[in-house]
Amino acid sequence: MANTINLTLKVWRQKSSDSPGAFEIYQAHDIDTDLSFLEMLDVVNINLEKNGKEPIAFDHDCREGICGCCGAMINGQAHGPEHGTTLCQLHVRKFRDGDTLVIEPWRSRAFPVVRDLIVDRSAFDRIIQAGGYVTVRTGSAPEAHSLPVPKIDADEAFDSAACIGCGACVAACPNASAVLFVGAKISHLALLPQGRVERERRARAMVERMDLEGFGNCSNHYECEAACPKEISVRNIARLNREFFRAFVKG
Amino acid sequence: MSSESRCALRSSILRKQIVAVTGLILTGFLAGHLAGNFLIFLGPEAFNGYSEKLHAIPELLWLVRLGLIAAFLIHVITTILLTLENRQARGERYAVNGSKSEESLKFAKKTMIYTGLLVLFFLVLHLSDFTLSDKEGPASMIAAGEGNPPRNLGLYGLVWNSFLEPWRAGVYIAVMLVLGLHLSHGIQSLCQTLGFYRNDLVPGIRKLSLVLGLLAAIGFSSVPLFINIVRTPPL
Amino acid sequence: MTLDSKVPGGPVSEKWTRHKFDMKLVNPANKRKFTVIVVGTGLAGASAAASLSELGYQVKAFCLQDSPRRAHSIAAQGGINAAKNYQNDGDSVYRLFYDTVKGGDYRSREANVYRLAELSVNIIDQCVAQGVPFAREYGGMLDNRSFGGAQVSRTFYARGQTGQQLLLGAYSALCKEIAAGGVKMFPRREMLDLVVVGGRARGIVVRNMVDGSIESHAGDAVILATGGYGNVFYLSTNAKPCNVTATWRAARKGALFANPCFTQIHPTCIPVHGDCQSKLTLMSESLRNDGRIWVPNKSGDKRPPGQIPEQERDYYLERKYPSFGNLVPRDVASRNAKEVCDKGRGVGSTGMAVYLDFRDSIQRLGRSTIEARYGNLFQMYEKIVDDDPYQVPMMIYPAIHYTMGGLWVDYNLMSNLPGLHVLGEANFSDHGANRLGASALMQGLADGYFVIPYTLGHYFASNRLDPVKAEAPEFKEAEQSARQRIQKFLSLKGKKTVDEFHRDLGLLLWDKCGMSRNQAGLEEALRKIPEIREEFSKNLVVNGSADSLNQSLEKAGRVADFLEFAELLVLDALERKESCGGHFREESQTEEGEALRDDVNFCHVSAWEWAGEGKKPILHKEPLVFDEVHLAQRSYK
Repeated sequence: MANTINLTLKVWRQKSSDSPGAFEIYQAHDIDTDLSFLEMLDVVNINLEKNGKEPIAFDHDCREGICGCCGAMINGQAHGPEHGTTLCQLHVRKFRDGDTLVIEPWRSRAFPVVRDLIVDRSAFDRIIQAGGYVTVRTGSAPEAHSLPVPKIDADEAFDSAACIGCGACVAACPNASAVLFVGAKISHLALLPQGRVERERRARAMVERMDLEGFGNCSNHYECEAACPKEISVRNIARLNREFFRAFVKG
Repeated sequence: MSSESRCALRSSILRKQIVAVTGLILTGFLAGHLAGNFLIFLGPEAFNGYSEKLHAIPELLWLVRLGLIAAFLIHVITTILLTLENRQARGERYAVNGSKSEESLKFAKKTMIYTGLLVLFFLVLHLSDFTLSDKEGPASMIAAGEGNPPRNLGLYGLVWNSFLEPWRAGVYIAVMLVLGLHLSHGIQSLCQTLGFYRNDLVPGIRKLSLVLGLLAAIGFSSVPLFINIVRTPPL
Repeated sequence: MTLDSKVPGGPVSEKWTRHKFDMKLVNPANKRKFTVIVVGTGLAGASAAASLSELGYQVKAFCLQDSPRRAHSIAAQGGINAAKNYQNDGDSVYRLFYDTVKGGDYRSREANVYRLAELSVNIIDQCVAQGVPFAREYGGMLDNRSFGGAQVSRTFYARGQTGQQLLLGAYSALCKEIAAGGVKMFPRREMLDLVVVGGRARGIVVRNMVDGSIESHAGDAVILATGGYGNVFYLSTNAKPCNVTATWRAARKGALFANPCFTQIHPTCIPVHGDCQSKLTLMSESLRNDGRIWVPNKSGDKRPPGQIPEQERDYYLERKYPSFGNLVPRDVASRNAKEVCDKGRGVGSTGMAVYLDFRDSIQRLGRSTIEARYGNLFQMYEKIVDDDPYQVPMMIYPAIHYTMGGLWVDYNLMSNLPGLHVLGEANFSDHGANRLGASALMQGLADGYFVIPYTLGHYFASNRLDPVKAEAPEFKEAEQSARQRIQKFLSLKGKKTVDEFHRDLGLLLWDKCGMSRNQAGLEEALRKIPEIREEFSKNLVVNGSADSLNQSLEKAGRVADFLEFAELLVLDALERKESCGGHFREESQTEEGEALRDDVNFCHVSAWEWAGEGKKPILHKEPLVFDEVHLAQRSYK
């Protein structure tokens, strides 16, 4: 039969971005350890709803670890204790019977809380809008094989492009910095010949936007890499630093 | 300067790179300083001779000093500004602070600003102890060996006498350990900030940074330690 | 009503070229006078919004996630087909077309499919130019793999995350246009109604999911790219918020819903583990290349798999289909899994699973080869199930994955409602009764990048559109009815949550209208769905308010629409008395128990017209004509 455990949840509740928030305590009884963390929240929510209370709001979409929607701090760890995992892929079996879990939203000035565990990550979209693309019109693309790309570069570009934009890097960074997110996009495009044409412009524009959004500065703690569900390397930050310096030198 | 360049100068990344470059300059200075310190083991002639050579061309000395002061001020002020910004960037604090990083030297990273500030305060003591104090005065007088009249041994004597006071030696050694901690993260950090990302080198750089930090701490501490163990200069 | 598919004349290979020339153009200076509303920002929606903005149209794009980058296209794993013939293995546009029609069990429209195959090559070019990091060979050229039983290697891929990379490409194009001012992006908006003015689709009513405000947006055309309705089954591989609301609301406004019973079941998913499960996770089909599927011979055999000797195992696919073995198409593999489990031979705690065993391949090829091929999938499996598939066979079971049915569209991707265009999984057109692997991404991008930019211009250039404002009475009316629905949900104060109703509906549908369907079961479902709906309208509990972020309220609206739509799905399944593709009617099978198509009576598209509450929908048929592809019964023996 399935194992079950009891958990105490201390969850951040906040009605909207401009109202104050506070922790509330809920008991999660007889939780099947095969449930995912979000399914455990579903169970808690059904009970809340039946007792006339509003369920805990949390962002979620694909529930298979690729959309980047979900995320919360569990006992101060982004996406919970397991490495390389999003919250939706974290399972209750990773906790022990009787554990108390403090569940908080991502905290960053650039990610205001929308409700409970939901934050506004549109700053990431605005950073991409600033330059995280190749300027190519639909229909104007040349034949795909006209430009060979070394396999090693393509593979590395993929590693960077695997970013799901969940924001765990910002949440985990002691400075709430977004450089891993920006570095991953900059690296992805700088590694491919298609992206090199506008690399200076891109680096300048994206960094400028990042600063404007109110993220902190990188001081090389590498907490972002440890928290990243896609295990994106801090090398991407080093490459961003170089790309940015290159853009500065080239004027 | 173009408006784009001015904009870049205000950017988080370029300011970090400024911290890195000034850090690199200061690290270079420390390396030179340490090499000079080791001359103390060779006796007063070698040590004082080195000191005199440094002072031979005052214009050059002041140029270097001004450069170092500038690097130091830029390093400190930029870091303080960045740290204040970083505090603001979090907004509401976490109720629980955790980490997923399995690195062992998280302490060095977290305390960079404090270790740095400690070194700053130490510097006031250090400059007043040696650089700004009288190197030919009574503090430089050392009685070398039993029954010999005290001789003025210049800077060598000053250093020796100063470190004979255990509290001072203790403070210096403690601060040098802190400095080592600062460098152990600082050296690899500046490589990252300046854009070294080669997979085959980065693990080496991280280890090297640790080793250099440790060496600096040991190297700088060796002088007060040596003086306190030996007590009388081997003349 | 006669359904005019508007398929142009001429040989199939020249239809699109001719049509492109025959279509009218909009003067470049006039394009900015047109506003296009795009709902959904998956592959189809994002690529359409970006491409239309590049042409100069004013685009308003809507999505219900916090960012357009999160649409469920992102979860596609396998790859995207294109007839590039880079492998020199005999692929061609014609072969891709032929395979797709045949794979769809001859229930798709030939001309649309041919165009899809034709455009597939341009998609790859476009994506590469955007910086999509496809897998490459050492020479720097793109790598291909064979996928879904195709006999040529035409699938382009980016590890197991092709959908993610393609979506990020389309999203980056969308971002470029947002920055350029051509697209105005409205995230966290849920479409609640389509607004029809003067017989044309002229706008939508949405709910701002953050502050609950109801907004009207008017435009000159509406594009729905809102994906499929697989979540009507509650458990599926779809993302949790995927829903039928946008297309169903359009259907209620007069758009025809075509072939709703064509739903695809994916054979290799991680089995259901309990009542609280919220979704199913797909394991790539490629696992069947090296894994052997089996169940114990005896029913109720609860021994651990390692203790079941070879002669007491039934490798049922290899036994029944010696030439294709474990690589039979999705529908055949799924149905056989259900059959053995229904006989009590299923494994796992629920008895609703079969083994996918890698023991023999590990012995033959070595663990390292298997690890190189499937390492990430094995890891994912272990994370979810907590079993090591290198030691213990995987357990798998089929799950709802994709819906071929959708709003009816003509060759121009316009529904019968003028101005309403439907792209990607939301329309019905290209996959017939069954979709081949790696074809969904292809269709979404073909529709968005290369079809709608042409056909929408033609619509604008050939029709006189009077200006319409969001203050028009039609909008006010739609807003009013949306508000009333919301108030209704909040006022019920019953005892059962939305999720519980959804689960009830899902279980019923999966049971009666899932992998195999029969008349008695379908009729029973038709009786029971209204009962659930009735209870829903009385005993639902939704707390909180309308004017704030309220996820239960969002779900209530979606489930209410699923409860209406489910009836149509079942009705369509009941009317289609043949078996074809994903639709298996037990009454229509061969002596060996295989699907039996009925081309005499059912070689048509069933397009349903909403007749009003409590009335039976009206069936319209679009006959399917096959000039190129010879109709034949599929056989995998």
